[in-house]
Amino acid sequence: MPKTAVKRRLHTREMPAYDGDQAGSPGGEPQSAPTPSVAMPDEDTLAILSEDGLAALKQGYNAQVFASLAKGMIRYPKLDGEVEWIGDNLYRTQVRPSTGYSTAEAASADAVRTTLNATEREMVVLAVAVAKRDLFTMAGHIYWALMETKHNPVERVADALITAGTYCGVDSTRWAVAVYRKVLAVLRAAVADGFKDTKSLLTLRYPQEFPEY
Amino acid sequence: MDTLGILSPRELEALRAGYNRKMLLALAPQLVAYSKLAPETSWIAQAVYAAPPNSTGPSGSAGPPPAPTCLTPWEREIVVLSLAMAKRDLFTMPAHLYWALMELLEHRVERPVEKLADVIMTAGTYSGIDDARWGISVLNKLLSALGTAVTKNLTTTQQLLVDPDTGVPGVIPQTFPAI
Repeated sequence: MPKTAVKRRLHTREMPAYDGDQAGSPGGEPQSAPTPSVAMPDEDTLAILSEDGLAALKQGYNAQVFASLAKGMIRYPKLDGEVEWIGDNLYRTQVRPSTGYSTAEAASADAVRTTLNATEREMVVLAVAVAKRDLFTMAGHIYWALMETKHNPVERVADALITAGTYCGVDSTRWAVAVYRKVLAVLRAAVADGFKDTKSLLTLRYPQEFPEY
Repeated sequence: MDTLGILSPRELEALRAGYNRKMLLALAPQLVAYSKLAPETSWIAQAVYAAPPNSTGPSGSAGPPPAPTCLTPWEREIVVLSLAMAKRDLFTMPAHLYWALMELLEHRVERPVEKLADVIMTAGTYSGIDDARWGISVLNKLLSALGTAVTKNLTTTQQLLVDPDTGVPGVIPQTFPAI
């Protein structure tokens, strides 16, 4: 077998489907590469995911799952501190309780947290992901952005992506819209198949549909 | 000085009072000085910036006007700033930091400078700590320039960016002489 083919095969075999805090452990049995099953849709982007589908996904949404998955995504202990900082300060919005903080420690811990709400944060992350053509980040954060955006989420995320594409080039617009359409189709299929909760979506459906995971 | 302490509330209010969104919307499409690109800049103005057709500068788009974005100006600026940072675009970054700051001030959002810094912090986490350093440096330099401008009573969008009649660059392009 040619060296490159061996390398490619090894690479595929060494990237098991990520399933949160259980599988994917070093030394675990490698899984075979999954085959995507959801085809690119034909509909207009805004018509792929129905209101009912979106509502079902929102019902099964659990932001805490992202936090628990993030900890296992970079498997190198020296980076634990950075991952923890990101979780504590970028993914937790300042509270600033109107009644004041209970302790000085609580006040200083809150002061260094972001002022961005989840929708604003996701727009930043998606914009950078478009610039970098980062399929791993895009697929997960499109779902996250849809879940965190209260009004008109499908169109708002689409508009964030075309705004990003306007500044990145029309080739990036094409890529971002194509990824978005695929994610919406995957979410629609997941709802139809009963995978509505965040954990099963991200740990079972996503690795299958976005093999770059 | 820490980023959050560069501009006082009084200076921020002076800048807000001089803000002219209409002028920015009209100015942006004229920045690409090549007539064949006019339809594209016109589309961007109307679809991405939700500018009314009469404020978009060059025209030439065929067909009906595009449906405008449903993002707020602040949300749009979040995206533009994140990309400008990832691309180290020194032309786009300071002007849009000003634009974003003005939109936050217009809508009386609390701690507007901290919101800008937090966008840079988040984008930098995903694009690299070197980009975060660059972004915060640009923000600090811009805020300092704006503070100096306020002391000289230069607070209008025209004085800060460009005089649309004469083309004389304002405080921001003078501070960041990038193409």
